[in-house]
Amino acid sequence: MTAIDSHTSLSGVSSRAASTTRLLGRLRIGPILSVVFLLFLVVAVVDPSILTHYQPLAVDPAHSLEAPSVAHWFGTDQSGRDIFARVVYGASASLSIGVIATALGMAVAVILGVIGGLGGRFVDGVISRVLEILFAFPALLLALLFVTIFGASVTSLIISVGLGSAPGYARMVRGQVIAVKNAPYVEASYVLGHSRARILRQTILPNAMRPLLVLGTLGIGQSIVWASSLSFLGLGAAPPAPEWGAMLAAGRDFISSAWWGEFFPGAMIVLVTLATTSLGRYLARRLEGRGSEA
Amino acid sequence: MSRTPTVPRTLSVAALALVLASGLVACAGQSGSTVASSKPVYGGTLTYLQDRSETCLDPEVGGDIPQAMIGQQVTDDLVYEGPGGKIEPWLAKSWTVSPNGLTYTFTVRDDVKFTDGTAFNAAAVKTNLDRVVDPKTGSSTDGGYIAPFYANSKVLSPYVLQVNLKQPDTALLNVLAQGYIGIESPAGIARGQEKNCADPIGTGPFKIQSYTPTQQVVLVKNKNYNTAPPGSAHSGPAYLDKIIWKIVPDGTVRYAALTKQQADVIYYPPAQDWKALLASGQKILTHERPGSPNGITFNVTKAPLNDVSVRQAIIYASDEATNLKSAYFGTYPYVGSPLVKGTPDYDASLQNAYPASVSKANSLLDAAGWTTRDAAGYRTKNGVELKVTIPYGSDAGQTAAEDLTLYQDIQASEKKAGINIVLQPIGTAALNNLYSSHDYQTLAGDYWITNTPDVLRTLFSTQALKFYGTNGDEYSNPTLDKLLNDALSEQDATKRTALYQQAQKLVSGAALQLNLYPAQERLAYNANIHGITADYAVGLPDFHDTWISK
Repeated sequence: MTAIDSHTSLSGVSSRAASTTRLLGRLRIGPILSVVFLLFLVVAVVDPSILTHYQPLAVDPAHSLEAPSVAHWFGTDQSGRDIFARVVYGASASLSIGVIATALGMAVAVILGVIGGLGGRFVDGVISRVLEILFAFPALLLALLFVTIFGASVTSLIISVGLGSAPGYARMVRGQVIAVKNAPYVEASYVLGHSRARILRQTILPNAMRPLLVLGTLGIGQSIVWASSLSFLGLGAAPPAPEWGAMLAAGRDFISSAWWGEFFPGAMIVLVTLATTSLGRYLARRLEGRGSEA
Repeated sequence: MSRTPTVPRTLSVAALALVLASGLVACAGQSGSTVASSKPVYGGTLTYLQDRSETCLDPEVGGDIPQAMIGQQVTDDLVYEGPGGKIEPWLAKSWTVSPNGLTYTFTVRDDVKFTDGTAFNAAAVKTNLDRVVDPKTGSSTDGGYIAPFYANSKVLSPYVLQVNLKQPDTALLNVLAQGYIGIESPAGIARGQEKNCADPIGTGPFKIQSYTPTQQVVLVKNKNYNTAPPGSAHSGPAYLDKIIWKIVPDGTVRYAALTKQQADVIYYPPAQDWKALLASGQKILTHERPGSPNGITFNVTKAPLNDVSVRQAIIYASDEATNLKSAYFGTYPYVGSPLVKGTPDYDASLQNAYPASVSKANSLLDAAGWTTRDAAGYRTKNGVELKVTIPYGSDAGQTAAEDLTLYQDIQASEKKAGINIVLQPIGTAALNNLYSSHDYQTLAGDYWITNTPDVLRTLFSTQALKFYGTNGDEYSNPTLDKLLNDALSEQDATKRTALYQQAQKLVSGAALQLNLYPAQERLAYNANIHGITADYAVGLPDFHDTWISK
């Protein structure tokens, strides 16, 4: 362990102690509820049958569009499928789209950002210009473009949303890398004769990545919203797959007579976005606090 | 084009009263000549919302339902089809048919003008007939009906036309009664296809004032109208001054516009909203269109659908009647036969040719060698899963929500027999490519509206496969071809019926389609709108008798 590393972790320990006390004082219900809700979703992803005995694809035409009741907590859809079961089973599709797409976006962003940040003036120029061009398009529009190229499916949804969000992250990574690469502790690392790979891996990346962690948490919620939007437009999961956006699209036609088909998948999208955002901001506050004290 | 509906001859007001699943009686409007209680008043503008449009308004070009709906307002037909399929005079005062069925001689009215001021006469009819059989016109509907049999027309005198056929066509008069082939002004046609598409000119109760493609058509009344057909409630010009004909693809939006009084009449109210519509005092007109019912067409050249046992098993397993009742809230009857009731020579015995039976499906599939199962529970044969893909249009207005529900319910039914039905949403352009390349296993939402059993030739004959592209099943059977050909030439009605019923049995036995429900004209309208009708021939909305009370 180098002197630099020790310094960082020491400072981390002290600030963590300080912020814990402070946080306890101002801890709010939001992050706790978010964690509880996300845990519920994790259960839904790992083993949805714990939460409901209904099957998401089991149609029962004789009981279509029934209002929420004890038997069907969230009511039934136009084919008589249990909406609660569909929402629970749909968590897997929607969350994995959110998480994987964000991870993909991040991965692409880190590669582009690091190359841009560490590459010479020319490489950085090229990457920056490309990012600026991509920035000219709203992320959702980019995602639409990719869906058109790859065709409508869950996989292409993930790739599209991931690639669509990459430019935003990439710019951030590049900025961070540039900020970090001239920091005294990086210079110190050079002086100590560490290899470039080691400096990148152990010094630059960990320091540059920290804000990205916050952004990524926020990004998961955003990715779910985008993926749902694309599914809503018929560009994602094919029916009868229980995907929240697709459920929203299907329920829309029945909104005047059966609000529950639209309300519950919609509420899930809102809640998961709120939860990840709330958590992301909580993380951001913590890291900011640490940053200002370091 | 398979999706092109053709005209039917609906007889009566088939679906005047419909019993809804809820037990409500959906009353209907009137067809033909019924009128409301009070006295009609002239004047007013009607806002009508339609689900889709064609870029060309002229029904002689292409020939899809939205074009014929406009055609019904702006043109009159040579002959009129009344209740019970009776052919009556309209623009033609009288006609004779030679005993061999090859020569038709029409005497047409001499007191009619097109809305561009030019005179209607025998030469105008000749121009129209020559035009629809000309491949350059691209008249797939009218041309498909007439071109195979048409030799030529001769103007014998200004108001007498002789039509000569190469081969007898007993469906000709019915076809000429369809709004798909209203008589258009030769001067209008001479302006060229582009101009005529935006403004087809006829002798009808309305004429086109303006047209904004994909958005709206504004129709104004023809003040000189004097050719109301026999079934009209009144003669002379229309009651309405103007119709704003807007294109609104989304059924939910159309419904909302009607309830908010932003529209007077809407096409195809969503089935789930019928109860609320009727409860709030609005009315619904339904009118069954003859021809081939709405269903899922099997491409018999694509495995595994090239095996008749598989096709039959799919029909047995699907439980269409139950699924239909749920998806459409009981607003549609199930049609199990190749023809819709009301089509001439309809064979009622085929309605229950394939009663829902998973065990029947299972034994057919077992016998066909689909005996093993994969991990998901679907049948396999030589390692290949028994899978059938149903592509459907995912763009707005392409696939009704009720249909999508129906397909998913059928998908669940098929699973019980170990058949994997995959629903594939695709955009309009890709869908059209698929259709024209015939690279599909199935066609969803396939139907054909026409008022003759000759629809069997349009959909299932080798001729249609080779020349018109309207045979979506890609079925080819010389026995059927001969039956249909003989039937079309047969001048004796009883013998003709026997031939057509034989043909229906053959088509039903070959399991070419998963039949679902009849095409229907469905209009919902506010209580102050009266005299909404559908024409008897093919169930097109007709606003000539429509009026608005205060």
